Amino acid sequence: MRGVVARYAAVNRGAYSLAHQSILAYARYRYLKVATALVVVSVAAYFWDRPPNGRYGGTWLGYTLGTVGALLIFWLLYFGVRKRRYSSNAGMVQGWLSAHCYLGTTLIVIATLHAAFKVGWNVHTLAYMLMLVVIFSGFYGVYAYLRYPRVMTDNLGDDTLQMLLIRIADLDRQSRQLALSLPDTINRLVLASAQGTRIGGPWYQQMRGRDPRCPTTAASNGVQIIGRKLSGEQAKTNHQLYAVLLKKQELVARARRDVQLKAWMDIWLYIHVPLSIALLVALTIHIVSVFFYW
Amino acid sequence: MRILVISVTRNRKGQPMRAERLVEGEMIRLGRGTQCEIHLPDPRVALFHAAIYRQGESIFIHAPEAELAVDGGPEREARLTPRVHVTLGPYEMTVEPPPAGADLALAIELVRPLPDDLAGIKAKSRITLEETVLSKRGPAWILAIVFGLVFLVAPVLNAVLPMLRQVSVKLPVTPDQSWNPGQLSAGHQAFGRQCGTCHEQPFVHVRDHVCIDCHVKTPGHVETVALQTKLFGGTRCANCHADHKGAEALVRRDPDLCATCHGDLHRFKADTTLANATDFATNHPPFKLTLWRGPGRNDMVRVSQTDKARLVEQSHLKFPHDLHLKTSVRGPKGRKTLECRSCHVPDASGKGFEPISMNKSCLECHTLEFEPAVTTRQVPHGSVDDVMLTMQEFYANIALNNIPVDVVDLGEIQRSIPRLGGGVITEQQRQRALTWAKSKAQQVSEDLYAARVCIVCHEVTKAVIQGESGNEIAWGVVQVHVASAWMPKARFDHLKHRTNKCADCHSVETSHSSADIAIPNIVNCRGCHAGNKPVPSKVVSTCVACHGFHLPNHPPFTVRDSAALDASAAAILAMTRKLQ
Repeated sequence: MRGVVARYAAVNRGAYSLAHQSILAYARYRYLKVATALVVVSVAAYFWDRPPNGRYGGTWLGYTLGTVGALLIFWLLYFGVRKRRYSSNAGMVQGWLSAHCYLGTTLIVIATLHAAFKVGWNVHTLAYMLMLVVIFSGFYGVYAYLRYPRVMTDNLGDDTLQMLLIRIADLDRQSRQLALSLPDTINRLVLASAQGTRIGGPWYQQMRGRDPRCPTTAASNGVQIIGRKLSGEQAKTNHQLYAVLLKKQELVARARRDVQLKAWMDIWLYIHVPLSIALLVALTIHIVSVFFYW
Repeated sequence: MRILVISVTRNRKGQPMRAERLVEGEMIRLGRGTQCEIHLPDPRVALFHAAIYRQGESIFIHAPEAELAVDGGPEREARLTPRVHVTLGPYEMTVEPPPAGADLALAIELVRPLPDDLAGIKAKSRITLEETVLSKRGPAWILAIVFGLVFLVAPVLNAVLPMLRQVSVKLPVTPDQSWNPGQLSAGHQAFGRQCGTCHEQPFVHVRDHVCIDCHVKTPGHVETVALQTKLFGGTRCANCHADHKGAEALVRRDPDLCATCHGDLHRFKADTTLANATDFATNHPPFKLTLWRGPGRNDMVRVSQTDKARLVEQSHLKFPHDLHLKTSVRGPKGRKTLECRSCHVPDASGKGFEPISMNKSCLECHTLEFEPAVTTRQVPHGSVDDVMLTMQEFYANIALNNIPVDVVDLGEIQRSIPRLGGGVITEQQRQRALTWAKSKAQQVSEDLYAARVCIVCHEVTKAVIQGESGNEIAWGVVQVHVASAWMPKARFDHLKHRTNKCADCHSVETSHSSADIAIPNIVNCRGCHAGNKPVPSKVVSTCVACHGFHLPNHPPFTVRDSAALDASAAAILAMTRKLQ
């Protein structure tokens, strides 16, 4: 029966990873196949077509590739709107995300062929470059979304950041109680640790994942050093306090690591999203301008 | 196994309140997870924290991966007997004696509720990027507005407001420069900063009249305006001449453009005499030569090089190339060997040749002496009247002056001229001398034209006309038509072919008649020139290597009917004017 209980615990813990499926492998790489087909057709058409005035965006194929590219961009941007509608079920969002990644990648080829490898100091190339930055930031996003959740799970286990904070607060309370009977210096360190320790902070602090002037680290170091001079009941209490502070230090490090991972997982969105909007504007201007001066 | 679970809570006075329920099963799970039979809703408890099970008569609690404290000491497993205290996170469980119908009674109480320190640490921490200075919305708005103003509003205003254009054209960067998709052709760069020069109306194609305003005399492609309109009425200049594609990329050079029509000309003009052509190497008719047939100056015929019977030059000039190209030809200054360039002198461009003239090329050998006894006097070349006048003057001078004007060997002349004697001549003497000079000139002209000089190269005519002193003979020379270009519808640059010898293409050594035409045929050209596709050791030669589209002497294209085109544009133009 003990074995049954242990096995149940193992399955219970692993249940999530069994159900998890990569967005890249969604529906047996359905959108990878679609994207590959799109790229192959585009490249073949590009080399098959030999327009009299040379290849550029204004030939029939140029207009076709441009239209396909623009529609793709509008559709991919619509994903941003779609994602926020929670009326659909999660599986659908996963499918959309898979399509978003693969079809977004095809734009590198489609837009480059549309431009026929020509660039210049103009709004057309601006739109193109914005698109590339958006796509490559998206590549990072795919990497982050595939890698970091696993690292975060390894870091947190069954816990959540919320639970870590609760436990840290609990330890703060315990450490303060223990420190009451200890010398003033230790008490001050413990108080500073309880009141001054912070998780995260500004964006660069979040991404760094540690605080070089962490009051908890200072407290545990201090308690260990000062505690050597104590004896009797005080030494015993101090030992307990040191154990509590070490536990807290470990929890704080894990919490910071979680915040760090989350920050690295999300930071690309602060490029991807605003530049997507900028791309939408530049693309619209590109289309208007080429027909304004037809 | 049946367990009586007693949930203990405390009222305001701290008195315990007990709520009982019975759970049943082989294995009773405890944990935060809702699937657990004994649900402990606290974050400090694991999802699945522990389980209670029976082994034999005993009941155990087992926590495989979590912490338990049994009677104060840490344990993974414990036997549950009455009065045993098990601490599970913030919960404390006490085993009580089981009532009838239950195997176990378990009182559970939350003894350590969540601490208040939580609010403190939460207040101090910023745990997501959304709580930082970073923003998605802000930069998005800024970029959208800046791009909109710089790349849309400014160019559009510049396009529709002439006043703004007057100012902006002087700026280092014009507002609509960001719209320029590529470098303009070299000729258009001079006005390239003023987009409106060509792009007159928003959302309307560049129209032909914009091109023709400058390129006013550009000839069309075919001979008649009617055919030109029929064939090219629907084609805009810009269909072929797409700009913004680099400094030298405004002219189409692809054979496909030509082949569109010349691949099947009968589709466009059923009665055309032109043969189809799509590729110089594989599908090009034999060359046609343009030959003069007269009588008018421009009365030409086009004769295919395969039509040998009609391939005859009618220049009315006698010129055997073979005689002239013999080694060591006798001339007045001794013997010399003529080369092609002795007569065919390249023109200033080097592409063609200076016209051959009697004076420059022939006169050195073919002198025009009329009086055999006098080698220093010649008749002028070109005009029959001048020839006669020159001879009359020569003989009159001798007669009247009674002395040689030039250093002449008088000989026979001296014996036959009238002796006038010295002093003032009488009218009778003068008339006699003049009559003699005219008759002498007439007499010599017979020899000059028909026997010795003119007839060597020319076809000479002879007519009897009524002159002042009876019948006179009027000599004539048939007008010469020496062709300068046998293939005027193609370009040929002799300079580019200077690495070849003349004889590689023009075989004239055996030609003894000026009726022969020494223009190379297509086979000769194909020896070096490939068609549209590359061939080893041959030059790729597309249509435009030899042919032009805008053919000289053809009427210019008519501008397409612009009224229909403008119908949609007029509305936009009116709107932009309103804005102004």
